[in-house]
Amino acid sequence: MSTKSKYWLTLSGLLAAVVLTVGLAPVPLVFVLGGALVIGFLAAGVLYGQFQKDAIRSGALAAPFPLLLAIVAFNAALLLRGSELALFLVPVVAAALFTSCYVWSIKHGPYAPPRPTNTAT
Amino acid sequence: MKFRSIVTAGLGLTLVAGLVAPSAAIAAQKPDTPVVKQVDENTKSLTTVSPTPTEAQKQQGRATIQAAEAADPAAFAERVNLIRASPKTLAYLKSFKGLDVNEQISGLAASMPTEPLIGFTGLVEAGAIEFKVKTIKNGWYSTEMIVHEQPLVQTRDLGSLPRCPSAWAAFWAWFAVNVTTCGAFAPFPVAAFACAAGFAVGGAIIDFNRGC
Repeated sequence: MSTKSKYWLTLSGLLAAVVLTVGLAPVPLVFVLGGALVIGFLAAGVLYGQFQKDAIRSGALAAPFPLLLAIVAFNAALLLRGSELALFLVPVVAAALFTSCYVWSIKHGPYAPPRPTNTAT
Repeated sequence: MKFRSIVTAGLGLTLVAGLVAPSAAIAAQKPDTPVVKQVDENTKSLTTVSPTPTEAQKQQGRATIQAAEAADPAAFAERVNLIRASPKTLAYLKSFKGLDVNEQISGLAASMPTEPLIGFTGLVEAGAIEFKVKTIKNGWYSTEMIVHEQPLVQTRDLGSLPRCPSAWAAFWAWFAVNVTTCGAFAPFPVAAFACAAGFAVGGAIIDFNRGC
């Protein structure tokens, strides 16, 4: 599996985890898990070397489709939160978001290969 | 609200039926004490007997009506319209043979504030309260008030789902702020996703239904 695939698999997994957390976790736990997931996204960016100023400024890394999908899914989980159908529908939404993002990323997922570090010889 | 409306309805019934408290002038026959009967598990009936009001009592009733109308003419007119717009309430008031229905309407309008009257007419129209009025001996009235206890409406647990227009408006406002704020991070997906996740977690604190 390529690094790009692993990167997007990680992001898709984190997105699905946010849906599950927001839709199902009780109040104290949702903040702990949610905070961890926010840090998780940033950590994924660091671990996969995506904090590249030039790539970001040029818009080469932009991914509006999964972003919009994620916002819709997160808010759907918010609406379902606490309802009788949450236990059934929230995992469905999470799975749909995971699948959609990962499948989209195979063809369209932006990824900036990490820059090699130059060592003085 | 339901209990208060029923109690107020009972008071209104007393006022409308006799227009005044039982008078010592009627010595030969006195109103019977109310009879409560459990018809079935969900139905109770209360039967009261009330005398035909004397002229003095009618005058006293009219004075009460005039005082109520003078205190707040707009509210009084609103209550009169409310009663006239309720066919079952009108039918109940008309069933007192020999009494002027317009005075009956004014009497009921004077007997309670607008909110309980809305509850009362609503319960009558919904069939939760029924009245059966019979004219008995010497022109007296026997009024049976039948109360059908409404089963508790079991609403499905809707959780955070907005339940009124203002709640939906609050949700859509939250959604719009979410999109515009996190959309600004679109050039950098991880930051945008982190932003969206932060908004989602923050949204768990918000009670969109507070305004309902």
